Formats: sequence, structure tokens, C-alpha cells
Amino acid sequence: MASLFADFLSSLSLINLGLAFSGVLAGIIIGALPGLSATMAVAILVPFTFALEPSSGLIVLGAIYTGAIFGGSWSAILINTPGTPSAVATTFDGYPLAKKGDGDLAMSISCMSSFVGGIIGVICLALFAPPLASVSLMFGPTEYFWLALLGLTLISTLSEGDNIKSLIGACIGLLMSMIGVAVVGGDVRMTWNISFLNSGIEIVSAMIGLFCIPVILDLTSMKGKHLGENETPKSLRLKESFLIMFAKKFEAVRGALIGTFVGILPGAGGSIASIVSYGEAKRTSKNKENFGKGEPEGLIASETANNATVGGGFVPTLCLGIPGTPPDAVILGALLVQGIRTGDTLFTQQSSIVYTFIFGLLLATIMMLPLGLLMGRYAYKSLLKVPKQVLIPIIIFLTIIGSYSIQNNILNVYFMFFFGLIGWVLNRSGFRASPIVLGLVLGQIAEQGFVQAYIIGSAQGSVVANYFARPISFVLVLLIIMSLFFPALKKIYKKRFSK
Amino acid sequence: MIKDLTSFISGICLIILSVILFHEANQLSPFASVFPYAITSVLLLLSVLLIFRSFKIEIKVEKENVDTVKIFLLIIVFFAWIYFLERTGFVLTSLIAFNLLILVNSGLSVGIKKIALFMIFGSIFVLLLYFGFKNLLLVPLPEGLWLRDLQN
Repeated sequence: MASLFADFLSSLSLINLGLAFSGVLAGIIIGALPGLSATMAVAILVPFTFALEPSSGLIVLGAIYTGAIFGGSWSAILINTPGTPSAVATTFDGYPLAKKGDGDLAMSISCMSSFVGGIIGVICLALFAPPLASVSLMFGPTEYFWLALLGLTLISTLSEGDNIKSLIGACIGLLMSMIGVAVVGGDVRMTWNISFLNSGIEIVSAMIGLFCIPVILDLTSMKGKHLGENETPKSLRLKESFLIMFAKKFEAVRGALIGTFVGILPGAGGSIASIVSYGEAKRTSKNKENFGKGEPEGLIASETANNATVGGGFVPTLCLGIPGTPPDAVILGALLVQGIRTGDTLFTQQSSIVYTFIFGLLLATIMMLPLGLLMGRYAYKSLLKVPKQVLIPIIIFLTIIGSYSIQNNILNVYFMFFFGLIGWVLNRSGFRASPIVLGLVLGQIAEQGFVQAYIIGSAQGSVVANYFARPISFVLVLLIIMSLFFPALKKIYKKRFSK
Repeated sequence: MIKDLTSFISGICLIILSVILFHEANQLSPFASVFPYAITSVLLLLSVLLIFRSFKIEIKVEKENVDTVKIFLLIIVFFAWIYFLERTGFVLTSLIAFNLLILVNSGLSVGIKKIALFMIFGSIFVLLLYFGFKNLLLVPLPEGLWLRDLQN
């Protein structure tokens, strides 16, 4: 206990506080710019941490990661373009809220939700890391396949619009993820002898194009303002946001727990977490019909879950040496360079470093709240003041610079442009961008799980049993079936009941 | 009688796409082809469902009216921005394209003074972000192949 208190005091040193503050600030700004991901933000700053104490280096990396995941919600709310893939579900209700003139409310709720999610994720990391890590080992290839499929079916049935077209969108996304070298087998496929397709489609540039360009083209044709403006432009709407958060406290905690749980599964990440949490929120909500039209509960579900994956993702990273998310992989590399050996002994033999880091992460999440509220408010108000004639070139500029800076490759900018035009045509035909993007994000996880499960099943002589008879797989399959058929069954039931 | 023409045409296009990709999967090794087979089959099934549904009901899609001229000009300038990015350099291309886009979006409805003001602010924004990316985030942005050739 005394050593824990000492670790806490160590995390409160002036240098650690300063690092946490600047890390969160940098993370929020980087995360808010489409194309600059949390992974990139962490990777850029890794070399600077080598000159720091191991725990201080970890604190700054954790703070950047936390800030970037939250920052991703800003562009999702303000320009309907998720700054990071984990903010895809934030666009469902965040952007409609901003369009209605409640952008400041959306920004405040998103910040408070990210704070709640982040805090719960870190607390779970501090208290239950070793037992939670063992849960992640229960997930094999079959479970990963079904989990990815659950994410896709949920986004298809939950997003606004046509369910069949959303499922088709998810399939298109999965097919797009297959372009390039196969994850199992190593064949080069679907490249049609175009050499730059060999490395596959860059997810973030496709995401920027699919989300951003339809918005730009619609803005060009649109008469009137991009976002609505409320009647009380000077207030922070803190009280209102707090009351909404308080009324939805159980939903927020549930979202955070879902986020933490999905976060501990290596590779799953915030995109699945926020979709699963959003789905659960919609399923249990009294305001189901408002989801997708600017329902704060949807925003809370998505934002609590994606920020909780930060703490959750560190569980397998620290306990098993298996990174939970891509930024965790970069942080794991930094840990190894610092001479820290991850594994179950980390919490006993190098506990002082780990607990100082966890406390630092907690402080960074706490700092995120005032910083996010103030900066978010300012960002929203600034965006409202920008005339549409200037806003459109600014968004285009951000799409170009964002997609270029992913790999410093002009081909990614062409990809972004090409996918954007396709996205616009698809959007006008009733196909939404979110299932396509999620298909692209989850494609490799799904394929790897599917093929590996097939190989294992064949070797055991029971392919079907390997897919369906494992307990976790069975539950996931049931959830998929429910998510696919529940809306239709409910409609039939309602029709009969009304008669 | 077709009630939802967009869904019908989309369904036909998707069936053609599924067949092409299914054929493509035929040429792959068993491990690399198993997932493409599965997904193209599902896509085929869903496309058939979409076509059947298009005969029964129409699902209306909410969409903005298109300003064809503005969108056409915007796409041209956008593409030119990307095309000249590496050739004439990031700063020059961005300044020209950014200001051209302001002109396209302003049309004839905005006064010259206002447009000039937009252009000044826009140019400052482009320069600020360029230096921010280059010096703070250490993202190397293209300096221009043509300019480099001229200097040599």
C-alpha cells in the first residue's frame, strides 16, 4: 500500500504532470485531424521518450494515445469524418446533433463520455489486469472471426437506412480488404496486375475518402449553413451535458465495460468496441427510433467504449506482451527499448514503473476533461464562423494532407479521391460509408480467423464443430443471428400486435 | 414492374461484380480463395435479394440536389491539386488550388472584397498548416519536382 502511494506521488511530479498535459493536448489535435491516427501520434513521439525515465516516457505515450482517441470524435461530430477508425460510430449521432445546432452539446457529451470510458478502462487495468489477460487467451481464431462478423452485422443493422444495402456495404468492405497479399496463403489477389495494389488498400485514406468527399460534394450543392446554430451560443452547455450523462450513467458504465472487454482482445480495437456498445445501447434504449438522428445516448455509448479500449488494450500488452491495439504495439516496442520485460511478473517485479504509468494515465484522462471541453467548444464555435466558401477548401486540404502523411505517398491521396467519388455515388444510391469502412478495417481479422479456424477444424476432423460448438463462438453466433433477425421479427410482432 | 430502379441497377452491377470476383478466386490457392468464395457468395445472395425487393417496395434515399457545374469544377480542381502536388510542390499547388476552390464555391453571389478576404485567410491557413506539419509533426511534404529540376 505504501509503495502504491509512493508510485502515485511519483506520477504527480511536475515533469510527469507536464508530460501528461502536453501529451493529451498533442493527442487531441492529432486525433482530430483526419488521417493522423493515434498510432502515428504515438510513433512520432517514441524517440523522444528514450531520453526520459521509463515511467515518464510511458506516461507521455499513454497520454497521447488517450487524447488522440478522444480527438477522433471531433471531426466525426463536426464534419462527419471519423478522425480515427474507432470514431466511426460517433458519426451516427454526433454529426446529426451538430447539424441540428447542438454541436456544442455533442462536443461536451463526447468529452465527458471519453473521460468516463477512459477512467473506467484505467481502473480495470489497475485492479484486474492479470485475471483479465487470461480472458483474452480464451479467444482463438474462431472467436475472432465471429467477433468481427458481429461487428459487421451490428453496424449493418444499426446504421440508419437500408439493412440489405448496409450488409452489401459490409461485404464490399470485406472484399476491398482482400486486395493485395492474402493474410493466409500469401497469394497476390484481386490486383489485376496493377503493382500499387499489391500492398492492399490503405484503410485510413479509404476512410477519409468514403466519409469526407460525400460531405464536401453535398456541401457544395447545399444552400444555407453547414451546421446549425443554437440560441445560446455563449454557454458551454455543461450543466445540460452533465445532466444527460447523469441520466445515462448506467449506459455510460456499460459502454466503458464493453470497451474495456473488447480492448483486452488483441487486435479487436476501438472500432468493434464502439459498434458493439452502440448496438447494445440502441437495443436497450427507450428512444430507439431517435438513434442515428442525433440521440445523445448513442454518442455516449460510442465514446465511452472507444476510450475504454485504451486501458483495456494495455492489459494484454503489459501482462502478455501481446499488443491489444496498433498504438499498443508501438508502446510495447518503446517498453522493450527501455529494458522493461512485459509478462505476468511485470506487476510484481517492476510494479513501481507500471503503477506510476497507470496513475499517469489516470491523470492524463482527468486532464483530458477540462482541456477537451474548452478546446472542443472553441473548435465548434470556430467552425461555425467559417463561411462555407472557405470551409470546403479547408476540408479538402485536410483530406489531402491527411492521406498523404499516412505513408508520405501520393498514391494514398489518389486512393482517397477515388474512394471518395465512389462513396458519393454509393451514398446517393443508399449505401452508407460506415459498413464499407468497418468491413475494410475488420477484413483481415475476419479472414485470418475464418481460414485458421477452417485449417484447425480440418485437422481435427470437425470443421463445423470448430466454428459453432466452442462456448464463446456459440454465444457470438447467437448474437449475430439476433442482430440480423431481431429488427425484422420486431416489425412482424408489432404488425400483429397492432392488429 | 420495378418500383426501385436504383436498387435494381445496383443489384445487377453487384451480381456482375460477384461473378467476376468469384472467377478471380478460382485462380487462387485453396487457403487464399476460401474467404473470397464465402464473401462473394454472400454478396451474390444479398444482390439477388435486393433485386427481388426492388420489384416489391421502394426505399427512398435522402439526398441533396446536385449543383452539376459547381461539383464538376470542384472535382477538376481537386484532381488537379493532387496531380500537381508532387510536380509543383505542396505550397504552390495548395495555394493555387485552395484559392481556386474559394472562387468556385463563391460563384457570382459573393462580393469581390469578401472573396479577397477569404483568399487571404485561406492562404495564411495553408501556410500555417504546412509549416506545422513540416516542422512540428515532421511530415515531409513534397517540395516540387519541377522546382528541383529548375534549381539543378
